Amino acid sequence: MIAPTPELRSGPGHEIRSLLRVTSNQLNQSMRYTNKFRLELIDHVFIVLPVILTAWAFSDGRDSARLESLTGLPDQLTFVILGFVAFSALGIGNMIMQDSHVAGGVWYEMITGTIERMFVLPIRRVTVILGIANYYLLLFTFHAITLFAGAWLLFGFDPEITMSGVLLGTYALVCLLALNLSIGIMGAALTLATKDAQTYLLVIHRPAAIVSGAYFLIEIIPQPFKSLAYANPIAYAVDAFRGALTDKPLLIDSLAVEFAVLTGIVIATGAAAAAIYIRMMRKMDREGTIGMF
Amino acid sequence: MFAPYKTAGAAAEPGFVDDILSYVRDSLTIAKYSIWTFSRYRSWFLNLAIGPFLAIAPFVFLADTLVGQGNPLGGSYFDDLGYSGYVGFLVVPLMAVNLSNTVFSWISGLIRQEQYTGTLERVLVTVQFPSTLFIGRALAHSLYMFIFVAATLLLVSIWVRPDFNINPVAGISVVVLHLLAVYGMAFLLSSAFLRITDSWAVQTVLTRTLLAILAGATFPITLFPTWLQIVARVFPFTWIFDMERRALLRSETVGDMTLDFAVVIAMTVVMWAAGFVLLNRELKHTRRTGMLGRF
Repeated sequence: MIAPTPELRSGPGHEIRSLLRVTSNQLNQSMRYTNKFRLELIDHVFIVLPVILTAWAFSDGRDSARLESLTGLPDQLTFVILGFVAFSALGIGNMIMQDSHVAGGVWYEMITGTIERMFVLPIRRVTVILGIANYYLLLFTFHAITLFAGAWLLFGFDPEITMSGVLLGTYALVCLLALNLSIGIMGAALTLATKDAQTYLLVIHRPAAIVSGAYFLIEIIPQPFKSLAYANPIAYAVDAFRGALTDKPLLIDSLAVEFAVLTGIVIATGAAAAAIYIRMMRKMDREGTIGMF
Repeated sequence: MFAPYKTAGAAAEPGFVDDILSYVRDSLTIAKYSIWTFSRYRSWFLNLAIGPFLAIAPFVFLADTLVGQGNPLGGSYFDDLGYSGYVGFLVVPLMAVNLSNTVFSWISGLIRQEQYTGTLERVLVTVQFPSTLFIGRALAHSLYMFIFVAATLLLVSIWVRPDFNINPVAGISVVVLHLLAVYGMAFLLSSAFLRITDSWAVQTVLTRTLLAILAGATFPITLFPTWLQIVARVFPFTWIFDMERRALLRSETVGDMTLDFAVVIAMTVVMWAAGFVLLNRELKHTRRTGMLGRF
């Protein structure tokens, strides 16, 4: 006699266990490729190094009179590192972006033919996506923390450490990670629907990077990038994080207003991600294209 | 009684000319197959067409922030280099870096792609000369490359306006040499990667570290301590970026760069020769140990 299809169980305990199981599966997959796994742990250093060296050569050292005249912040190293820490938390500072993100994890499952298998498990599809995302959230948190700590210990970079600054910086970091999660879910849904991992890079990663202002000033870049940057939620997230730890926000004069904007951005991006995810899943169910590749 | 194995009247052993024709035929087949494979991913083409500009522009914006538009390059690291504007100084090697990366991802990345889709073994047992897998791939890439270069030049001309001062003969010579060097290195890496399961990650570290950091694409290598400058000079791209800047920004002639040309040509020949030797060795190893189909 054929056993009945297992019922979809529910309850927070089951959801959390399922989520952790998918995360653990993603960790196992990443660790299978030893070189890639090692690279995932250190690639933020490879990405930030050329920028640090370029900034050092162009400002002939650590202090930049021009940056000071434009922002009141003389230390270009602090400006660049804080921008990059925010960038790392967003998961767009890594060089193997195509593979090392939720969309990359989903893409890998697609080309190895295991995504359908995961989607017929008696757990929610969103739990599968969130489980993969969870691994990358942990990885990018590790990137952000090690970059901050490494720059502090090795280069003596100089953020303004006050109690309120640390609290706001931590809140901004949590918002950055929440944005990362939303962007990741959007990326995974787009990758599943379009069967093309490059779409995510093209639509989200590269444009977001160019107009984020992570290591340059948005107000001096040419149009249309300047207008796009002012409309880019990631730019506000990066600026809020840097503003919290330098007390000099650049996009909005008031730090309080910038954090209110950031909170709104996180909620709106989360809602947009959920809407896109639901729409893409319905489309694939309707058209029967989940297994197509 | 079985008839003896037929020898009389059998087709003659293929000669040198037949081998060359087979090599060309195999290479063209692989090129055609590569174009078909990648034309499946529609966004890939657009991504590579606009991707280089999206990687170049943030560095120019960083320089805009620290130096200021229209201001000359200055400071201890640029004093003896003879470049006045920073846009060309950044754009020329960054275009080369991004185009080189497309070569590496196109050629070295093919191992990974073919492994994932389970076709590497099929391709390698189909062609008469395994190296045509890489040569054919390079041929297909060179077709796309002209479009990438044109798109990147158009985009940088619109938004960042590099201050070119070109010597056409030297410029073309350096670019051709650059391509030969980058295809040679991709061939060498691809051969080495037959043994490495996650070759793409290793290739990413090697190429981006060598190209973006050690070769001084966006800063003068005088920033490095002396010992690291010597190490950097071991890699052809350190020389090539310097030559490209001199030919495209300072209008230097081939005669002004004779020594540089000789060094890079020697390095390129060594990389190609090593690629052929390594490919044969690695193929033998992977077949002997049964590793070819594993990834």
